[in-house]
Amino acid sequence: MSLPVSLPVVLATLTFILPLTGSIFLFRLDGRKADAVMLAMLSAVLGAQVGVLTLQRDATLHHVYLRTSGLGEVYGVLIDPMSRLIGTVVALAGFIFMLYATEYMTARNRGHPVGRGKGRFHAWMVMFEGATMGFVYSSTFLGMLIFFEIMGLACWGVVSYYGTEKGYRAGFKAFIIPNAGAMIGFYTVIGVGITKLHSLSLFSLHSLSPSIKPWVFLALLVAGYTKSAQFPFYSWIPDAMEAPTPASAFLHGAAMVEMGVYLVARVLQFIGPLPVWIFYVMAVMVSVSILIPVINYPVQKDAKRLLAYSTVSEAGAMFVGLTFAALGLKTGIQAAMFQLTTHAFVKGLAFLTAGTFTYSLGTLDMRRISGLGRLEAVSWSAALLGLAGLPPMGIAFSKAAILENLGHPGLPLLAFLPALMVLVDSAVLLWVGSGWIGRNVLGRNEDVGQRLPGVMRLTLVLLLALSLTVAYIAYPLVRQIGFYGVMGA
Amino acid sequence: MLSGYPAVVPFLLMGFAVIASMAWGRTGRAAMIAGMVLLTVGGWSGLSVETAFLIAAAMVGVAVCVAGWRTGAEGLGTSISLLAVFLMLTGKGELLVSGYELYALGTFLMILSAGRPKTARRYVVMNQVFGVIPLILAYATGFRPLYVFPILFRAGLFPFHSWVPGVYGKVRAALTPVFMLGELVAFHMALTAWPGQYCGYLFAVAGSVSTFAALYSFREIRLKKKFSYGSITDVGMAFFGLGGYWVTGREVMLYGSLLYILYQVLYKSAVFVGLSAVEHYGEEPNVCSIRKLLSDHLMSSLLYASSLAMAGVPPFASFVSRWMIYQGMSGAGVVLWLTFVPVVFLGAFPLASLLQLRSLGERICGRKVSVTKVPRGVVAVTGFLTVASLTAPLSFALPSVRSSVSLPLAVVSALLMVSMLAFGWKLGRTPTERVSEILLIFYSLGGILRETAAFAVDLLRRAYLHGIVPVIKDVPGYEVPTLESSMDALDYETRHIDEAMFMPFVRAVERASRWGTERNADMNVLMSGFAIAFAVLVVLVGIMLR
Repeated sequence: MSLPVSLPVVLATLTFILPLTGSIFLFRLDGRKADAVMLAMLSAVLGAQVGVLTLQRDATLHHVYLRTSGLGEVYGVLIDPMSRLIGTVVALAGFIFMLYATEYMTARNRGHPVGRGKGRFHAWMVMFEGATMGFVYSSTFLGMLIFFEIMGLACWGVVSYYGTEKGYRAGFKAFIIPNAGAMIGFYTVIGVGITKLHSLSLFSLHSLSPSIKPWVFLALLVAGYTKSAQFPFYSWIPDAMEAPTPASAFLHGAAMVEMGVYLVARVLQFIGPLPVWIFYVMAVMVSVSILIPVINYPVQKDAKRLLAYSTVSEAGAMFVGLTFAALGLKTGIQAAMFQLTTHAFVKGLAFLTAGTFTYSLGTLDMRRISGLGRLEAVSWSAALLGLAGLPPMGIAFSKAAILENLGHPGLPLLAFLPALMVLVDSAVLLWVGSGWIGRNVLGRNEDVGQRLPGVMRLTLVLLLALSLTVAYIAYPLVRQIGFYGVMGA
Repeated sequence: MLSGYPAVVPFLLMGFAVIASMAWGRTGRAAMIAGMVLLTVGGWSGLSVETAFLIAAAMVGVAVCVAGWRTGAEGLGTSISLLAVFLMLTGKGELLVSGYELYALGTFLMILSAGRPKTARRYVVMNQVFGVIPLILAYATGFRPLYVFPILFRAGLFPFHSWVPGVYGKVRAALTPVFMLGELVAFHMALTAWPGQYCGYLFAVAGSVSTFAALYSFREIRLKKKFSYGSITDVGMAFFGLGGYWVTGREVMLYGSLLYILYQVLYKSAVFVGLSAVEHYGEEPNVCSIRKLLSDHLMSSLLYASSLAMAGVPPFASFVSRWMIYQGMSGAGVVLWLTFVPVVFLGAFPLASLLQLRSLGERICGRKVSVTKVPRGVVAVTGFLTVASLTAPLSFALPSVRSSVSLPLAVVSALLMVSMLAFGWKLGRTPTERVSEILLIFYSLGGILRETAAFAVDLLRRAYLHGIVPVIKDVPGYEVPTLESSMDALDYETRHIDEAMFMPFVRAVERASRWGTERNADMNVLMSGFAIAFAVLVVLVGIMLR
């Protein structure tokens, strides 16, 4: 007797059902029990994701869970190269960052000692991971909206975790801005889906009439911009650095910010040809978005804030790829997803290294950090130089993939502007980063700080290795990503 | 060339060396040497330009590994740089771009490890702006003229030469040959990047202007800096020859420039490795400390030989190659002749510089010199490179080289060179102060250019600090003029531009939400609000009824 659903679909569903339901129990746990349950859950998610990756290698699999006559497909799961790739990134990065958190969120943390309440942190983070996995696999806008909002809720939970006034304000801001974007983007498309398309499925997007298609896309673009902290909705992310560092690494470095990019990429996959003025709008907006971090880099003293601005520009680089995709270039969408993949690990490396500053030295003020230990020196240097686009970090290759789109014949002249901004950003970050490397790595060791525990060291080594190798591992899967033609729902 | 399965193994080996140098330094060194040898053997394509470049790179690379290797970050940087050189010499697009960036990273680590963070920072940022960015754009778009920037930067030529004296002067002398490999790679890129007359003129002008570095070499007594200026001169000469070939089509200029770039890497590397012996004893190589080295007869012979090769004395390398380049000038146009004149005149200065060095040493350092035992590795490597650099005349064994030379032009060029050498001899024996007086105008010109560039950079800095920082940071107006660097602005509160954009709307909503809660509402405000609302309603009704 065969199952009504295939094993990959079951596993994909487990990747979000398990953490979403399990997170509720984590609110009641604390200490090492919370660590154990959290790690078990995330290991299961990672295992399920690896199962999807290996079992569903070739064809795209679309399973509809709920369909009605009025709304068409209400909820479903889509397993394709993009969801397999990004799901793996989220699951793997989440596991590593939370492994780090088991030691970071303790009383031994010199900068932010944590006594009770660890379970609450784990609960929000696991909820977040579940929501992200659900978002990645959703095949309808309603499903995406639900998980989009749960992500926002979890973000509020972790940003305001420490209970300070700044944290509450930052948490509220981090919740309200993407929420406003969701209202603009998702409510528009769901409204259109109900009234015009009679379907909420991604696959129905191509049926939009040419007169409203660009406006629906723009509305969803706004939702993507708010989630990915792009201009003019970027300021929530520097303020959100009030969150514990593992949360900053995961939400604001590797997962949540990238979901805005993922949303727009999904829309581009299904919506079909767009008028060229959409390209012009995206090119100008993303260029301005990248300009913001460029002018802010030199005046940042806080390591996490510097990385937050870097996240704005890296997400901007992903949007540059999507800008080319809006012209119908498959290489644009591939480059964006490639950048998303490589960025997750190198940004995670950067954030977790910054976390070691808090843990070991009790400060994130880079003026007070000097003479770092060997591992921290290597990881900090590798992360900053990698973010500036230097090989052999994999992110250098993904940025090159974005810029290779310039070689397509017949591109508008404006196409060079966002590409140039990516390069300017790398130059400025290199200038600023190399200055801090010289000070933090070479300076005299004035505060020895406490030694890092083995778990934290292990995660740094893992992330360093992944930052170097993920480009090669992920590239075959990246090459499979493309646009969808007209397909049945 | 370096393609296919056999070439992967040496690259993997060198990749392992990069990693191994972090933990097991000497193993990394051995792996690097093995990798370079394997790559040279694997890339062998008979008697060709490619093979010559590979051999030169391998020779210098092995010399660096033997004479200058150290564990730690410096060893890692050296390994990465050497690996990157071979990547770039493949000439393949993606490998070239990756190699260029890796080379920047490796050399950055080397300078940083020398305890020079400011120099390292300036170097790597300049490399990014003038080298990597144009290179990536050139590769992505296929717009070939953009390749000129990364080539000129990597070669250390005008107008991207300013980093050379600082870097060469500060890195350990035994590792400076790694940067010379960068010059070699730049020339290799230049052979195929954008061939043609336009590029020819660009390289000829850049090369010619770069030879003015010989004047700065003349007045410098710190030897590493002195020879770094000499390096700019030599590379400028080679690029002048290449540019001249593309303009005139005379093959003798191409062969001359190829010989020049290949041999200058060898004899300069010999000199710098020799200078490392002085550093070995904890001293800065200068006109006095070098005399200790010269008390060793073998070492002094080797250094004299490589110095004479550098000075253009026959029959050594740079004489032969320069002589070939000069021959190609027949039939050149006015522009090329204008760039040729300073090249010829400045060709006298390398010899003058060496003679002046010797006389200065005798005059200011005293007669008594203590005998110093030079490390055997340094002697061996210096000897190896010096002997290799003396083989330039053997290039005439090649029929293609012989056939490119014409006797009448060869005689005229030789006479020209000998006369300039005589001038250089006289100049070298003239007191330095007198010569500096005569050359003051050139030094002043260089200073003016430097000050102009510094002024432009300062203008940008002030525009950022006084124009942009007050927008993104909450800086009181009276404190804005006091901002001298970005570090001064670190402690001010951040002002978010998007918040500033939306705050008026947010405040209006806040005010509106508080409006109804006030107990004693102002009657004037109420009546004004009512009047405005009524007027808007009337207008809307009017529009709807039209």
